[in-house]
Parts: sequence; C-alpha cells; structure tokens
Amino acid sequence: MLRFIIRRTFVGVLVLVAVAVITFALTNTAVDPAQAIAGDSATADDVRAIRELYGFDRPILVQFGAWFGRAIEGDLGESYRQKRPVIDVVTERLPVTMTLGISAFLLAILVAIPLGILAGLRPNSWLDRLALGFAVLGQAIPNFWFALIGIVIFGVKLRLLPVSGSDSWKNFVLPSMALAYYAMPTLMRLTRAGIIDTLQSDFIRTARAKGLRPHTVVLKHALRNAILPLVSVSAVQLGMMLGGSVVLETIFAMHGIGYLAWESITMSDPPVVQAVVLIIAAFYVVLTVLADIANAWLDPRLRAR
Amino acid sequence: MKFRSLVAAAALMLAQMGAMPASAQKADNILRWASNAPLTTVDPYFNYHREAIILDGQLVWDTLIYKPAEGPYEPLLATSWKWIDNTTIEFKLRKDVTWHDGKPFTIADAVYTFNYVSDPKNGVNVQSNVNWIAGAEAADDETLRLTLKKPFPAALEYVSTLLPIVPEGFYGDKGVAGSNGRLVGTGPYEIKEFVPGSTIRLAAFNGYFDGSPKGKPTFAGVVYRNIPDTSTQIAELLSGGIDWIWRVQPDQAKSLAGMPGIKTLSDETMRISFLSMNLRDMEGGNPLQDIRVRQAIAWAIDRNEIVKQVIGTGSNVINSPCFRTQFGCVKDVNEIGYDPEKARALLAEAGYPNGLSLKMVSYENREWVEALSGYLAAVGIKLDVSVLDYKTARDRVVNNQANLMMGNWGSYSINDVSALLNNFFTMSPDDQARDQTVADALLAAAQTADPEARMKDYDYAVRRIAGELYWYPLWTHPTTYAFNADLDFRSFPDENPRFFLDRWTNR
Repeated sequence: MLRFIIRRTFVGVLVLVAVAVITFALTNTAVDPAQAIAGDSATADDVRAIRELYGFDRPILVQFGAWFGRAIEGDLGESYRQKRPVIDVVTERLPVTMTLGISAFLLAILVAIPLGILAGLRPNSWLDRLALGFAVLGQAIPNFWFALIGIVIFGVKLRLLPVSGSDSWKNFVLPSMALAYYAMPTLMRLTRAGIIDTLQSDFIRTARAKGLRPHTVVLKHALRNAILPLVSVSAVQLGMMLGGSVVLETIFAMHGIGYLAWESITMSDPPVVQAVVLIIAAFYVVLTVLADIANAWLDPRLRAR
Repeated sequence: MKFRSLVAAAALMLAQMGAMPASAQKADNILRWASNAPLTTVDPYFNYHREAIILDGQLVWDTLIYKPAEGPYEPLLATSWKWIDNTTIEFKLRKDVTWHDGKPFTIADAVYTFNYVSDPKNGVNVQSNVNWIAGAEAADDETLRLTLKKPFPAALEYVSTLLPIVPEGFYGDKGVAGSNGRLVGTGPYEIKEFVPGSTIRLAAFNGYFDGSPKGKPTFAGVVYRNIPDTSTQIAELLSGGIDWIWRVQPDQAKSLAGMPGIKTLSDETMRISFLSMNLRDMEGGNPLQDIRVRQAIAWAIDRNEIVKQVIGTGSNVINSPCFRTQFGCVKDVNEIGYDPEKARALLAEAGYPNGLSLKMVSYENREWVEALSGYLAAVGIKLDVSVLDYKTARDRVVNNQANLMMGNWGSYSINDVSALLNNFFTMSPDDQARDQTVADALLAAAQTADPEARMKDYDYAVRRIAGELYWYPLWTHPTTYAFNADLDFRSFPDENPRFFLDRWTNR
C-alpha cells in the first residue's frame, strides 16, 4: 500500500510540474507582461524600461526557472495590478470558494446518494422514474438559469435570501444549490447503476441467503462495492467545485478564485492567473490521489495495478 | 450569451410582478451602488476603471481645482492658479484643509503627488494622464509650481479631474497605496473598509473643509460593491440591496422604467462610437486606400435608424470625430447620409461591382456591430467580424490585421479633443490613417496655449479626418442609470456621476 501511495503521489507531482510549465508558457506568450504593466498608453521606451526592470528581457527558461524556484518555496510572485504578493491575493479569495464548493458538494452527496440508492433498489418504479427525471432536469438546466430563477424567487419576490455577496451563510444557500444541482445527476446515476449491478452479484445473494436484514445487505455490502466509481467521480466533482465556478461566482458576485481567474485574465495579471491555475490543479491532483488511495483501500486488487 | 440575455430578461419580467425596492438605505442615509468593475486597488492612479475616479478620485481625494458641469474651474485644494508661461502653472494652496487622520494638508503632499505619479518608473496605469508633467516644486510654503515638459493646453483639464492629491509618502517604497499607514484623503468621505475587488465602504468626513464646491457630505456613508452581472445588479436594485446602477441595457431599462419605486434615466455622454478605416498597406492589398470604398461604407450605413431602433434614448448621430463640447471639435464638417444606391455606385466605380469582403474588429456592443454589419452586407460589403475585448481588438489594429475597427472612446472625460484624436492620429501604433499633416496639426495644437492657434490646427485636423473618412463618426453613447426613486440623482455627459451632489429626498 505504501508503494502504491508513493507511486501515485510521484505521478501527481509530475502532473503539477507539467501544469506549471504549460501555464507559465501560455500566460507569458499570450500577454506581454511589460506591456501589461505599462498600460496601453505607454511609449515604447516605457515598455522597454519596465521589461528591463522586471527582468522580462531574460530568456523565457531563465524566467521560468526563477519563478518555479520561488513557487516551490511558496512565493508565487507579486500581482502586477494589486502590487501585493499573489499568495495574499489568492488566499483571501479561497475561503469563499472553499465554503461554496464544500457546501455544494455535501448537498450534492446528501441528495444524490440516497436518491440513487432508492432508485437502484426499485428500478423502473415511479420512484426510479422520478429520480431519473430529476437527474435529467439537472443535466439539462444550465446552472446560470437555475441561479437566476433562484434569485428572482428567493431574493426578489420572497426576500428570504440575499441576492448576491458572501457576507453570511445565507449568501451561500442559492449558489450552493445551483452548483450542487449541476453535480447531482452524475452522482445519482452512478449510485443507481452501481446498486443495480451489485444487487445482482453472487455475494449479495449469499448475504441474503444468510438471512441478513435488507438494510444491512444494501448499506454494508452492496453500497461499499457500488461506490467504487463514485469515489473517483466525486473527487473530480469536488475538484471542480473547489476550482471555483466562474459563472456562478459572477452571477452571485461572490469573490472567489473562479472570479479571480476571470478578473486576472481580463486585467492581464499573469502571476495571479498562473497561481490560480496551479492551485486548482493542486486541488485536482490531491483529490485524485486521495480517491485512488481510497479506492485501493476499498478494493485491494487495485493496489497491484 | 444571447440565450443568457433572454433568460435574464425573462427573470426580470418575473421579478417585475410585485417587486418593490426597500428603503433601509434611505433611513440610514447610506448610498449603496454597484458596478461591474473590480477595484483591486483603492487609489485612482493604479486603476483602469472609471469607478475608481468616481469613488476615490472624487469622494475620498480632492484635486487642486474643481471642474463644474458648466462654467469655469473653481478653487478646491488650491485657492487660485495662473499660467506663468507655456510650461509653468502656479497654484496657491489652501491652508485650512486636513487629511482624514487630522494631519494638516501641506504643499509637500502636492509636490509628492505630482512628482511620484509623473515618474514613468512608478508605472501609473494611464501614462497619458501624467506624461506631460516634468515635475513639481514648492515655490514657497503655499505656492506649488507645476512644470510641464512642453506646452500642454489641456493641463488644467487633467489637474481638475484625474489628478487628485494624496498624502506625502502614500505609496511607500513598493508603490502600494496607503503603505505609509495613511490610507487617507482630504475629500468629503473617508475610507472605512476596502475589500480588494469586492467592496469599498466610505463614511462622511465631518471635518471636510468649508467652502468646497463639492459641499459638505450629503450621505452618512457610501458603499460600492462590485457586482459583475447586470441581471444580478437589477435583482439587487429590485430587492433593495443597492440603490443605484448604471450602463443598463435598453431592453432592461424599458422593463425597469415601469416599476414602482425605480427611476431610469438615459443621457448622452462624451463617449463616441466611430468606424476607423485602416489605410496602411496590407497583405493582398487594401481596398480602403481608395476613398470611394470608404465613402461607400459611409453612405451604406443608416446611423439614424440604428440609433433609433437599436441604441435608444440618449444617443445622437455625430458627423464630427469628437464630442461637441470638447475644445477643438469643429461641428460643420461634411455630412454623409444614408444612400445605399450611391454606396453601390461608388463601389462599382472603385472596381467592386460585386461587392467585397473586409475584416472588422470591434469592442462595441454586439447588437450595434450586427446592425452596422447588416447595412454593409445590403450593399455587398461582407464583413468578417470579430467582437473582442478592447485589448485584443486593439492588438489586431496595431498589428495591421483588420480593415475596419468599430470602437468607442470616452476621452477620459477630458473636454478637449487632444484626449481623443491625439491618441489615434499622431503616428502612434493606434494610428491607422498615417496622415502626417493631421499628426502635425494635432501635435502643434497640443503644444501651444494660444486658443486661436489651437483652434486653427484642430479645424484642419478634424475636417481632414472627417473629409478623408479616416474615421466615420457614428453616434454618441448613452448611459442608462436605474436607481431608487427617492434618490435625487443628476447625470453629466462626462460619465462622472457626482455623488457628492446627490441626496435622498423626503428623509
């Protein structure tokens, strides 16, 4: 198991290095950082002076080496626009995205898994059809539409919830619902399919033959096997949610890292863009490694692969 | 995006049924407004957004002199001023002004501000706002001497609008606003909270000096929130979360206009739209080098109809490549109307009887771009249109990758054509016409303080730009505001809401 963990972690680190290289290359070729700092009305001399001042006239590999060296030590540079350490800019936006992502993920799990189990236990019943209808609707409705309708009903008409911002827990209710509903269909359908498959297995028939109570068979034996694919998909979904939703953060005026990424791109602030991409990639990598470890723990056969 | 707009419109209609804005803000005498600009720094010099000028430049900090909506400049931090020669202005400063932390405003603060912001190494965002300043010094303890690099007649326009005075040492060694521990101004409101990119909370400054043309603070506080999405801004306005928004789309304004408790106002601004023609050599030839093609483009577009049907109230067709109140804006230039037959004939005469294809970039409203493209298509001019953000569109223009650019310019609210035409016709990378005579006239006009000489140069430049159709002037931009009906709000053509003049009614 330890070798498996080391191997997976090593692959994760390689992915992060690759992301760092690609992000640095893309942001530095898409935007001339000296021009971005100097502004549109700067003269060629102004741009040249800034290029020399910041070291943008050095070979790109040297620049990357310097940036990457600092990044490993936790120094992600300074925002060109805010003139503050990038790490400060990003970390002050993280709590909003983390709160939104985790609450949406928990909501998605709490609704999708029980619904998937119920649908899987009675395939083709009215309950199953209802659950599938709920899932299809979730996949079909764009989350910004769901968000806007939520704002109109709960924010403007009923005035039960705030329309935008991130000042209190109430601000997170609508965006969490919108983000969760986007993730629910996949989780629900996977749970349902897993339960249906597993309930047809020999070991379940054996468990039933032994006279185990139905809920023990479902929750202790069937669910453990059924959730194997769910763990991997959940990791991706959680990664997506923690990466911030540009659309939802924009609609609800929540200043998280999704909105920060968009804001930094439009304001030509490459150090912040690089940091946000790297942090989102780190979320994905860590969650994927954790999901792999969880899967290997649940199914020892995976450790040998 | 279109689908999203439809959804937003539907949502707005739903919201319309029975929604009434709350007035908690009115009771607290707080003004809450929102816009889509993320203010990531609090000072007005390191910001690209107009909101920073409105909020920080006007409410928190003061300029040396004040520019009223009409009439001559008025004293603000300076009691008087005079041009010593073409490159020197002297200002007598007030001695009864204090910063928000109670320390006295001194001449050292003004000297520091001008010297700091004019140093290119410090990288103020809009260099053209400050790159005409050679430096500032104290002639005595109340006389500031501002030296210009060369004659710059619009200097007082900039001093009165875009160059507020910050305390000495404000930017510290690293260039961060307030890093000397004094995030303070002399204006009618002081900063209470700043959340980068999100919120700025201001409170009335009770020690604001008597005799300021801005008057004493009318609100107990002003709160700015960055709400990027217009639909959310409207929902906040309807739910009473905010009191004032702007740049509302015409269709949304129509829906809002009928709602109880909400007022809408569409007014003309100094921002003008134009169609810029690229006359440089291009790979495979450039049809626009033939003036008949440029004329055909102009005659093919029914600007009046676009203004009436698409843009709406507050917009007007313009014939001069400038805003009518700007110094140097000659108004009696040649007028071009709508005559598609004439456009077709001109195209045939130029050797394009079957029409032609052109590349156009734009950072304008997509619907306006589509309307204009439709008129050109009707006479056989097919456009390959890219609607982009300003920076990307400008890159294409600078790199000679487009025949046409449909753009707009607000002149930074400067009431002088130098803030508009000198950006586009002085052989800079943005100059697509490359007419040396126009560039010479504009540069000459910008380097003398003699109004007659300036007017003569502008007369030549403006007539030539319009006559040669380097630009086809299109229309003025309206700005539509929507706000709580109890707010006494006035708009101004320079796109600068002066919140210090507004107040709640019937409190």
